[in-house]
Amino acid sequence: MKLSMVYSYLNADIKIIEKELEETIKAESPLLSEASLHLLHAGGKRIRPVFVLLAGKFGNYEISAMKNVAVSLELIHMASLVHDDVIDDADLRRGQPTIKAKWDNRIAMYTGDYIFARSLELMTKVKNPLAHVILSDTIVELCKGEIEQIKDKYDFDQNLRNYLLRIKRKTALLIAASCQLGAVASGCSEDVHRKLYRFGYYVGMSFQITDDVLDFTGTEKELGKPAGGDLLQGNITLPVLYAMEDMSVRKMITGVHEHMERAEIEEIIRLVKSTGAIEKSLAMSDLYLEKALDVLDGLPPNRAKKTLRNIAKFIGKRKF
Amino acid sequence: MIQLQDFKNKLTGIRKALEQQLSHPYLQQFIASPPIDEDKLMMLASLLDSIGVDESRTEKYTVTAMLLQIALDTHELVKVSRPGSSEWDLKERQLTVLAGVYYSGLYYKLLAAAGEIELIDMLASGVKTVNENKIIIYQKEADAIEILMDSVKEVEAALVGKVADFCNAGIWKELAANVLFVKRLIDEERLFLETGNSIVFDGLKKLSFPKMEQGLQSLSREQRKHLISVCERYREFAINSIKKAQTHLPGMNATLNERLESILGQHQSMVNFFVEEG
Repeated sequence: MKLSMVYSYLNADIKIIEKELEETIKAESPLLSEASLHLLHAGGKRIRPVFVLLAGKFGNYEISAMKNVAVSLELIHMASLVHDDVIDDADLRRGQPTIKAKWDNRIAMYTGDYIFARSLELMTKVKNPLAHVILSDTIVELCKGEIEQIKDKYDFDQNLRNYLLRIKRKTALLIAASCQLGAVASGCSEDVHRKLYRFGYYVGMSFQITDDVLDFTGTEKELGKPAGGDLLQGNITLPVLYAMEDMSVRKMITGVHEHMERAEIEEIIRLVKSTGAIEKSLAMSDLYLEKALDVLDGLPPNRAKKTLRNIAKFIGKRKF
Repeated sequence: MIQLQDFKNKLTGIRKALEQQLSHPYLQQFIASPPIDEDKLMMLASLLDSIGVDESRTEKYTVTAMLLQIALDTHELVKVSRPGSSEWDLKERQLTVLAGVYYSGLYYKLLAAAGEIELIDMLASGVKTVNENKIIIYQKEADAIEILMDSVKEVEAALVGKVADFCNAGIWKELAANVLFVKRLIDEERLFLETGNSIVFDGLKKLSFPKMEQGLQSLSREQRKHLISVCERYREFAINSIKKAQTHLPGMNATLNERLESILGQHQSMVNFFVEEG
């Protein structure tokens, strides 16, 4: 089953969001419009807008208000992808050429900055100051997380705490903010929007751990890039941390460098898998998932709650 | 004299507050200190000070607008990726991207904490305008010199202009736009004369000599003269507008007045240089 089936009853509202996304990034410059739309049309799970909408269902849900938050968050995510592709010097994203590959770094920087600006312009339609405090804190933390990721590259002495803090900033905070902001924008009580924040945070942690596992277990077709890419780039993820508990494997992993031959990295992937690191990582992902589901128990019963539960389970078990 | 010192002290205080925001130990290890455009800083502080905005808001608005300006200027420093770049080059490029994102995040965070939603909106709209016009210049999308020059002006002055709009300071907006435009044109002309490279002159070349496919270095003496005269015509026009605005702003602080005289002096020396060179 596809994830989109879980929330198919939101399709009408998701269509509104897709349309708004397209309208928002249209620019006067033909090239800027083309570059922005190129990214938009490459697809994506739109998971952040979905979380915004579902969280909004716990309050006074008006799509006209919810769409501003949902679109803003997706645009912030998109802007970060454009910048990330310059950072990673990536030529492909979702199987399509990246903006920096299709044009160049300069165009990618202008496009990323443009999309970020449009997202904030749209967000200011939300007049509740709390929403802006939440989102701006999230953006700064997200960026700190990316800086930390560069700092920690090829640092084989880092520990579990480093990793968890990094994925919190890199992934979990934006999902947590999506849930919380959906609730804030629909006027939910503090208790409800805080719970939704925690739900999003735990789901985000589980999601990223699963993502890091898939980098070892996924096929090139599923991932849109060869497996082991994170490790090759020096990103020490949870499966690697666990695998390095075995000293002989650790010795092999600490020799990883960017220009390694494909056969060598494949051998390391095989070794990582052989240590049980994948299973231990998935167990950690499940632990976060359970916490997310526990938080949901404390929320008022409605259809959105059931959907959030199903999405959380889906994310935890996804194969790509 | 007391007033002059008073403004200089305010400016120093704002600069310190800005530097504090920009300070990031890890970024500082790998990338150069972020570029601070002193003229934009002075223009923002002067306009806010002159219309009676209190000291704390003057600092907040100037620092946040400058953070955004610095974010955009930092992203201008991102180099094109080349195969075989060293690890240091790679890290520098990566952190330059992130530094720009970090500074623009700080602008949002500071204004959000102060509940200044309208200014967040106006400055974001300024960033949008700047990037739209940067692309017009970079991709040579302008189909008339007027459009190219308008784009240069927008890139330089959109953010200061948005703060002026926010404070309903129309004359200041006009003054700032012209001052920053003149300064950029002086820089571009100097670059063109000294290195033979300038993105603005490249754009002017395309519009003035559309059939010419070679670069700026292949221009004849007459063609170079023509481009410089176009640039100077726009500068002269902007300078007249600056002089007109000065008469409408009698309360302008002496520090800014000194700076304006210096910019006008640079313009004059460029004109003299060109006349002498024939």
